[in-house]
Amino acid sequence: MGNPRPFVGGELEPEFEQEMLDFIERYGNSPRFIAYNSAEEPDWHKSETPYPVTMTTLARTEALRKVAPRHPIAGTLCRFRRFYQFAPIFDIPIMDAYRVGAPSADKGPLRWGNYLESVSAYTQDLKRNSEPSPIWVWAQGVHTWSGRAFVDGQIGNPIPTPSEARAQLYMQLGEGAKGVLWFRYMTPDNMENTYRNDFKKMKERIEELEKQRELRDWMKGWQVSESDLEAAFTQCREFRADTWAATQEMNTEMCMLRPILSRGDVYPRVWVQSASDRRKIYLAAIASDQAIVLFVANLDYDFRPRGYRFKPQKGIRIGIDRPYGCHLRNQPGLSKVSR
Amino acid sequence: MTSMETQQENGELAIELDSLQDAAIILIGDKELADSLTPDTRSILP
Repeated sequence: MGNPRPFVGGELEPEFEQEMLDFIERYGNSPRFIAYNSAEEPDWHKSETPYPVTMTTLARTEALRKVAPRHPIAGTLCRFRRFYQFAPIFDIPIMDAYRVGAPSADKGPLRWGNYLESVSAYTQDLKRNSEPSPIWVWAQGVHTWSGRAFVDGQIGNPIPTPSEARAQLYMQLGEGAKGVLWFRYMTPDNMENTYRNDFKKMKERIEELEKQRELRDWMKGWQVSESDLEAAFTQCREFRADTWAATQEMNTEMCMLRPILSRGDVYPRVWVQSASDRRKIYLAAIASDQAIVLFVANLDYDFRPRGYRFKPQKGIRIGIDRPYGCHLRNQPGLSKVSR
Repeated sequence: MTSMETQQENGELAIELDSLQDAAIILIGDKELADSLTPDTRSILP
């Protein structure tokens, strides 16, 4: 049935309107554009009176619909449990929830790390509040956030590892995401320069706070030498290369599965029968008329500044009720799509 | 993940994975379908 769309009216910001109209008049009908993003995290700030923000977002979206009637209008959201407030406005609601070393609308157990599995809850919440519209997600890839660059006086890994990126993406796909945008692509030089600047700023900030005696606990252990930093910048390129390669692999996997994932939907009748620790296995399925795709993630990991450490699970047994309308043979084939 | 097998039990499917390091995708479908899924990454890779 989808949600009701009760919003009407709202005021447009004149500057936004002019900028948008000028752009779309010039380029807007190009087939290179598949959608317009009318809002970028309007739910980021907690607000006692969120109504005006919602109305502004609605006004922007309506204005875009008028000038680009053949394009879907998207919007990016970030605050879990408040997606209901904005998601019905858009043709394609999108959400971002980067779980490693990045700012987040929810509080994680650590300053620099959150539970990977919470990305599935985010995606579920967006889907439920957006139906029947398709949802897209921002996936955490090679990015610029530096929350895990320096942890407890030591150099960390600012970039999600391939395992961290893979687990997050698979949980998003398993919850029914129909489109994926990577946050983001960066060249090696761009990446290194960004982190050089981040470290420089952090060092200046620590020195400033030391003078004011207001140093926070997590900054007190600064013991990083110049040579340590140079080694870290070099290693940053290696971290980036690994994650970059993994994102290429995941792109290939998604392209292969596109015919199934785009037509299928979340199928709940799957379960983990046994594993080393079956409470720490994520399992989800997308069923189409031709096939089932299972997404499995290992949630038995420790938070580590240089990348979450996964403890391998053994002897995993999964049960599946055959979905009605999915035309499988009695003994269907199995293919491992991922690496 | 090193091996998989499928069984038929009362209309249910059962799949076994020897091991799982971080995450995996498994496709359950006929071989012809799996063979037809060929990657075309030209449109999205830089």
